[in-house]
Amino acid sequence: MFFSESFFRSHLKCMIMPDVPTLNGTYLVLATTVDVTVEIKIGGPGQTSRTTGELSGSIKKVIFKDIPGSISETIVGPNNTLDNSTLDIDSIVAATSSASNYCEMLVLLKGGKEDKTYTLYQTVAAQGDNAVFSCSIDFVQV
Amino acid sequence: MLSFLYIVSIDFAQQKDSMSTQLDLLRAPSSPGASLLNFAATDIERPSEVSSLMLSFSNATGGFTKIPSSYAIDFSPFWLLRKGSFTTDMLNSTKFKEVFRQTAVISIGFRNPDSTDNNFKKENLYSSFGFKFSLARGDYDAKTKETLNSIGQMQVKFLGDYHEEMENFRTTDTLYLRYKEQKRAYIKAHAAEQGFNPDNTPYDTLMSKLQAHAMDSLKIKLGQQLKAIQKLASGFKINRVGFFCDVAGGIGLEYINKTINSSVYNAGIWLNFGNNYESGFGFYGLFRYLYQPKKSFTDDKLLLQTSDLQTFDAGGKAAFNQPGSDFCFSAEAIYRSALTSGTVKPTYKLLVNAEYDIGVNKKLSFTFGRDFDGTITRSSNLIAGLNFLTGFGNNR
Repeated sequence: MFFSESFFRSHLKCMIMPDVPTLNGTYLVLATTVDVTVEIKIGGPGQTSRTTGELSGSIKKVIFKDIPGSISETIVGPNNTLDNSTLDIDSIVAATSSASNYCEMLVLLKGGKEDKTYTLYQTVAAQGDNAVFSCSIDFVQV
Repeated sequence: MLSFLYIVSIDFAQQKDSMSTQLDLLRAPSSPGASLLNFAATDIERPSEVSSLMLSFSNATGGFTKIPSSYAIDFSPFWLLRKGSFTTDMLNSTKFKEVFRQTAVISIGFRNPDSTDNNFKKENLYSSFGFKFSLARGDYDAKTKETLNSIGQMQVKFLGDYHEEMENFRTTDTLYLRYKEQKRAYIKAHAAEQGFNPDNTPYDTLMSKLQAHAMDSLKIKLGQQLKAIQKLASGFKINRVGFFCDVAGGIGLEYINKTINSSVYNAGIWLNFGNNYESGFGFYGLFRYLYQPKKSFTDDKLLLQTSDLQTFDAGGKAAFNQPGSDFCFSAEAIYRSALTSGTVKPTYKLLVNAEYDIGVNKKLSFTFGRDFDGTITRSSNLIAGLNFLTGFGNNR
């Protein structure tokens, strides 16, 4: 078998959890000049999306705007410049797949105190329906 | 979700070469692993996310406590591991790495037959493993590109309006900003504590609720834009033109007396290729190798024999199926030769099929041909020499 039983059981929770179209989180950064990066993964297979990400707070900067599909690892900024700023990511995912109504957005942050992944997901009612995701990550220097 | 009632058709991956009709050619990918154990397409589970895969395994194994009695599953390993891009902007990529990741499918089957199953021995257990991927696939056709372009433009307009309003909320809502400041202060005060987890504060939950409320209001305000996208996306289908080449393979194992002592039940390799044109015409080729040990067959003296059978099929198909048209037509010919001497003689199959779509899950079809064993088949019903096919359930 490709996966262990614990891998299976941990994902059983997803089956009974409600959709998560919005999420607020915290990402710890350090007093270093190492860049924090963000990567966006959009799914499920066959869906169509556009995503915008912007820094607000102490720094105001558009990180990416109206990008289709998944977004490869993109620099947000050095650790020591991100305190008191927030990464706001908004995305619209149209369920264009004829095989699945499942839509998701994974936000992967790296370079800070530890790597973190934030998962937003929604199963829409029918093909063509839209899932709108909003994710706000506050950067806090420790 | 209720499954469609449809008959699997001219699917080059089907071992039995059944002469029936698939209701929607684009929706059910062929499953080598399942077909080696004679699973119908409707019996194959195809989870597209890990939660569905887990649920599927859990149901089939009684909560991971037993081997399933009859179970077939297809899944995309790269999608489950989130390796690669799977949205429509990248499903048109011609890079082999992307094509492989997006098209690779693993299929697994289990059979624990009972006395009513004539194709298998009830004292044995059967499993199968199969794979399928594409070496090349066609480009999106003009209509697919146009529709995606329109959806993209609408999404850009919506996202621009939505993001602007949400940023306004995030930077001006007093309660939201108060929670944010309280969270920062709390984290900075406790970050040095051993085992401190910034995700365990209540502030993120409170802020999420406020943000969700703002989202819901915005989605109502921008509802017309969402409806317009929904209208275009609901009938969307990916149609491709150009050259394609698919490879599939699989092996079935038989566990004697349900012990680890196993032998090969059957195995096969398929190569499908062809070219689709914007006009709706398509020309396809097939090569298939099948290995069936201890296969019973009737020799030319009409005596029942048993031998390890290896066959090689080669065939071609011409089809007309213009996207958006309700009519489709196809004609195929397959030649089968036995690689093992002293077994079956070479033979051939011819099939002509015409279908007319008369509504959701409803089709009229006419099938005429000659099967490998020489049987002339003409599918018909009481109405007028045609078949009426209908599916039950939702529109998917």
